Amino acid sequence: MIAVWKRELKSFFDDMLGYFIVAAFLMLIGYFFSEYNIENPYAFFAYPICAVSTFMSALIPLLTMRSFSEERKSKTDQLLLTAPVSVWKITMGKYLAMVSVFAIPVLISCVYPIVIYVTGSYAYPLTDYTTILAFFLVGASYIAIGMFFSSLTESQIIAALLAFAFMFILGNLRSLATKVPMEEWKNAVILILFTVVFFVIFFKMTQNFYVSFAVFAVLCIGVAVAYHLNPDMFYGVVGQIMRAVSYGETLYLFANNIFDVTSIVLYLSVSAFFIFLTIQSIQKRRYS
Amino acid sequence: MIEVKNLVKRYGLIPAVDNISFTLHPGKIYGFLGPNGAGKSTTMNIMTGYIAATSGDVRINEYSIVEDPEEAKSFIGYLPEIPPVYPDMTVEEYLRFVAELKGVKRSERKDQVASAIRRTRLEDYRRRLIRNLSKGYRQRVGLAQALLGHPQFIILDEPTVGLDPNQILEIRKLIREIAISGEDVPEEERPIVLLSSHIMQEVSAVCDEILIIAHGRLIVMDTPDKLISRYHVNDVYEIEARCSEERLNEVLAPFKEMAEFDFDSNDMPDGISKLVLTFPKDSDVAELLFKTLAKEGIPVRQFKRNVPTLEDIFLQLVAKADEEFAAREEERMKEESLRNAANSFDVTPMEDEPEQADDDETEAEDDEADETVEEAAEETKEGGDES
Repeated sequence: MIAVWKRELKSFFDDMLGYFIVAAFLMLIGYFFSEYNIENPYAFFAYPICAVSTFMSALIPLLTMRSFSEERKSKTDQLLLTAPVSVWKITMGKYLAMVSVFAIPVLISCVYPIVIYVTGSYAYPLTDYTTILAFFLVGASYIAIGMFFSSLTESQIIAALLAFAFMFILGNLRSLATKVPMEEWKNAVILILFTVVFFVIFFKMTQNFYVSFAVFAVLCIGVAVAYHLNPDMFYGVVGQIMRAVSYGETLYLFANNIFDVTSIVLYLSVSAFFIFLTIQSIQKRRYS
Repeated sequence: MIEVKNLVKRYGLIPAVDNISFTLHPGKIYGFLGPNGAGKSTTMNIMTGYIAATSGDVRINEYSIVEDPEEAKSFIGYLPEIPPVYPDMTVEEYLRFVAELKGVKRSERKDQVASAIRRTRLEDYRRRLIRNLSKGYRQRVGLAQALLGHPQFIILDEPTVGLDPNQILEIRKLIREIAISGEDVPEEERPIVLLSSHIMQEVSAVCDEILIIAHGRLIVMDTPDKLISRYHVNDVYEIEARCSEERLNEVLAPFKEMAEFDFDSNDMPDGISKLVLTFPKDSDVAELLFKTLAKEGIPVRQFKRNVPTLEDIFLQLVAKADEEFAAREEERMKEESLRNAANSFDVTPMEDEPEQADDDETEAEDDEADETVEEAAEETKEGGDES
């Protein structure tokens, strides 16, 4: 695991990519710091951090896109997968290397609250540092997501685009939720459409038409029955679901001085879930 | 010891590896021989745990590659078809990384990397970026990588492809060195080298035993000598003489009982006849033939005894496998279309089966008929020659 971690980390800084990612985050943090905390008299460093977090869905895919795609394309994955090391360790080595690259700008940004504390009239270092921690955990979970998409394809570009699209939607669910209609029947139709998408993905993955169709039918009937019994249940339900799984935006809670344990658990479990999916996707490839 | 048991790998319906079983014993070099696309790389990739088999198992010193992959893999050094090197690393960095990846102890890492570099003669290239190395040198780096961690078993997929003749000789020498290096250890700890190739000459030059595979099936596994003696059925003599075919036929008539005669004078210059005689193995008639021709005063331009080479045997076996494969495919297609037909007419399988059996019979009959026709043709040809 350490061998993979060292190699990955070194390869990030052997070419421009590692420096670029670090520099881009530092530049954004610096820019928003001067915008919020110098030009404007806010004492919270949490604000610039929240602003930077919206750029994460664009920058993290650049960091993660090549993690598995490149190995697969150049067939160097043959070395890793035939070495006496488990897939779990290889994946963790790669994941931790990317998290380490991301940790560099995060660690450097820890200086800013001190600057505010020393030079400002007011300072809220505890709020600032918990927000930085939450920011780091959100980034780490995005890295897991990006790594998963990289393990799906040989093309770095496709890996980056998929990861970007996924993270963008995930990061903006709360604002997207306001665009969803509220009427009961429209919500029911949207849910049915989701089950169709689910059916297609399920069928693609299992190649078993009958089972996936059965699951699809059960879900559809469930929606229909529920709608028949109690249509009120469907009022704005899609929007509610979207808000419930909305992600990243919860960072504002931390900025408002709320240490939201639920969110911390959510970030960590998303990381764990996508690391697990990455391992599964590599294992699956061995079998197909 | 490496045991491969009933290995099957299917991509969709197409079998890439079709029920292969064999056992490799320590202290030997094995050659995996087959035409392109025969399933060599797939088998090796399964043996090293890169891809999983559809069914079957590989046991490496009693560790299953499916159940205990980490233990099993720790015995193996693998050089895949494309050397798995990172272009952005130097040779030494890369080898250190692989040593660490394979769990070589920190104290031994430096020595092992140095010895791998020495054995593959990469001393002058250790600080070069792999990006800037030629194909041959990348291949050597790949080989050095496979040697790290002193694996007992070395698996090499087409190790000499893309190398110049000198490098090929060096790599062969290295492979032999690896095999010899285990002579002073107990038998079960001796190395095994398995290398694949589609060139017979290469395999017969280095290997103790040859495994020939085609269309995903193991056709034969034996030593080169035994292969030759097993498939060397006939002694074939080629005679080019200055006389007419009729005269040659007449003079050599006493040999008719033993040999098959085959005139082939079409490409010969005027007045020269060429005769191909096929005797059973070890008939030892060369001197007698020569004497007979000399007695009649027939000037002999060329007199040649053809012994089948391993190459011939390989080609012959592969051609046979091709035919069998075509027959299997045809059968499969037929079965499939029958099944489709049965499905579309909703015929019960009870009615389906006898129909199929009928088909098989008629096919067999057809085959027999073909053979008899061929035999008849041969007979008439021979008869024509006699007259």
